[in-house]
Amino acid sequence: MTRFEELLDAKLAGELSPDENREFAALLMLDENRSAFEAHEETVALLEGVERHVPSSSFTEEVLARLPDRRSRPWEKACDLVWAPRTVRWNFATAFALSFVLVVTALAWKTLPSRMAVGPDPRPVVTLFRFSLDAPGAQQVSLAGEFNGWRTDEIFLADVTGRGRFSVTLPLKPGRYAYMFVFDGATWMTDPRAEAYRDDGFGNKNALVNIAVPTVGHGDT
Amino acid sequence: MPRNARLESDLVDERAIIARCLAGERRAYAVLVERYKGLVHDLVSRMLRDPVEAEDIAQDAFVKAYLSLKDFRGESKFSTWVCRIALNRCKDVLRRQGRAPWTRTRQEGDGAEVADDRETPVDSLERSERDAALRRALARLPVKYREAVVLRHIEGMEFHEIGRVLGIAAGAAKVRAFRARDMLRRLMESEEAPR
Amino acid sequence: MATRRLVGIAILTVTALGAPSMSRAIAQERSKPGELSRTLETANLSPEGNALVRAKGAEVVRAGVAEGDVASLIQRGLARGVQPAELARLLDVLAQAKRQDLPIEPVLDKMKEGIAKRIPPARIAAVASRLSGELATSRDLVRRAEREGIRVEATGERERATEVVADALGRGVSVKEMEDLSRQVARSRQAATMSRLEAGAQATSDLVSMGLSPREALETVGAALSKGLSRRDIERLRERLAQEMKRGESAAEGASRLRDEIRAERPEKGGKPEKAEKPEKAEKPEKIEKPEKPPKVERPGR
Repeated sequence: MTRFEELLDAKLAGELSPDENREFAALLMLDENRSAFEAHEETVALLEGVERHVPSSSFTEEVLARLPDRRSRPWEKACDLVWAPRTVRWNFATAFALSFVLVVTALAWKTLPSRMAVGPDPRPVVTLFRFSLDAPGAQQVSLAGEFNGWRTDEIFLADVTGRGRFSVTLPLKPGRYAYMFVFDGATWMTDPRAEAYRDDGFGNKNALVNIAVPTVGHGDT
Repeated sequence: MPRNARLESDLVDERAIIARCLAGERRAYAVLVERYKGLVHDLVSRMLRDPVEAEDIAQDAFVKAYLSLKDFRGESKFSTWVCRIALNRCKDVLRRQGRAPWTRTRQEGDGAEVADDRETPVDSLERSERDAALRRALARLPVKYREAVVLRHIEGMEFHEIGRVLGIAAGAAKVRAFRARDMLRRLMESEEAPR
Repeated sequence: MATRRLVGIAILTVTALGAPSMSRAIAQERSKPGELSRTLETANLSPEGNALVRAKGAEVVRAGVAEGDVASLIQRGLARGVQPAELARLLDVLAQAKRQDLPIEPVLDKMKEGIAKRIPPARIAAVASRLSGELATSRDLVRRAEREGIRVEATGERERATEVVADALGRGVSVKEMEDLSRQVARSRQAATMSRLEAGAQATSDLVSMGLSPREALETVGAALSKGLSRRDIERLRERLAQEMKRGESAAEGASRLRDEIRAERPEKGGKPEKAEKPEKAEKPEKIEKPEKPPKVERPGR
């Protein structure tokens, strides 16, 4: 920024010292500087005078409704239950019974077929993904895609606010999923806000959602 | 109470609320949401072409902030942090909108706006038209200028805080806001010029 | 006394839990018998239609498809009014795909999709057949890739790569172009993995879906592979192209610029894992930014 621009900015913020005020006043003698200052003043007034957009009265409740439960207190209790020191009294009968239990368990475990010779990755973490659609006038909106075998009668979006804004949040494993919305069980619609699309081969366009391995677990359309 | 003391008190209060949230008191989060929902919602409304989805995105920002609460170190205000999350969400949406197979037609006057009972109908109409022109001009600003000028002159943030929200130096935020005002002026003048 | 009672309960509980596990272990490999029969019993079909679907269904199960999947497909088809002869055709396609040892999930999924969307069954069969063909070609490509040195490092990678390469073929990428990609991955020695081939093929599909020609898409992915970019960075190529396109450029122009950027980047060794997005950064000391050039004003209508 030029010196004039710095002073102009500070002037608009009311942050000029007396010396700087004098310096600025001198610079305003130039017509172009004066025009620039007036233009900036006007723009700032316009911006500061703009009417604010107000959220709906149900905003906070809707946010809370979308929050997962933090189970820290029961978890803390469970931890205490497991880790608290205890006194154990035993006799030979108990020891024999325990051995019997262990042997039976080991035998049962061993006879299960081992399916995971080369173990796959540990179960992937799911990401909560929110699908939403503005559909005023629709009675019922469902979601069908590769994550649910394209069933149209399984995942329904809810119009929480009653203003035709339908949404649903699904826990999805990492991967790429094709999907479409279905209106009233019959009309298929491509999500206009999807991140990518693919022809379905039948003349329609599927929306695609890509769920990456999560860092912080939330995403949405 | 002096401003600094009030700020300090707010920060302590926020840290206490966040501690309660992390301890499992979900409803404690409502205090933070109530406190900043106006700021975040207004900010998001200014950034997106489609103000109708602003409420969704603003809610997303709060939800994401809640899910990341354990990462919040408390060095800045919670509002700074949630604004940053909200702006990142806006950028995601804007990127996707750039690739949408069709664009939603935006209606003028979308989004709830607070009417001023003291205005005459003529004043109200003029204000609406002026706001609409400003909204159109803002939408045409590149994102990095739009966010700086909105945070500064609509949301009233100081440059050091804007710098934290945007991840840039305060001086850079100042430059961006300045350039943005220049551009806005030119955009609005070009709209007013006779065709 | 209480201790004895508790011990006795424990023994009984474990035995009770253990016994079904053992018997389940024995029965593990057998699918639930009769699902197909149960489905057809409740279907409102003529005797001939019932016999036809039952025979075809059994054939598919013998080919190796899970009975539950076959029953589910039949049930859905019948619920949507698909005729027995049409169902039989779909089951034929499924059996054929399984006999060729192709990944069956994409074919099954495409059929479910077509049925749900009430697409004429003949068309579903045609699309599913074409998909099987792409999967077969893709499977051969992946096998050749392995012979050329691309390593499978985890279960399922081969199958996933087959599906992704098939998807790319379905979007117009030629076999030769996919072979070129595979060779490029194979040349990268330590990074010559199936997951990297999968990422490269997926990125190619993504870029094609954004408007690039297959050749341009492969050139862009190739630049990323040559630079040794990580799998995650390859997956993010579509985001980077989208950013370039946001500046008003065409996909081709954007891709050209993206390639230049990639080539100008410092080569990565081994690829660092991406850090999780942290909302807060440590504060940097202020520095005065150089005066910025006034940017272009966005044209209306963008």
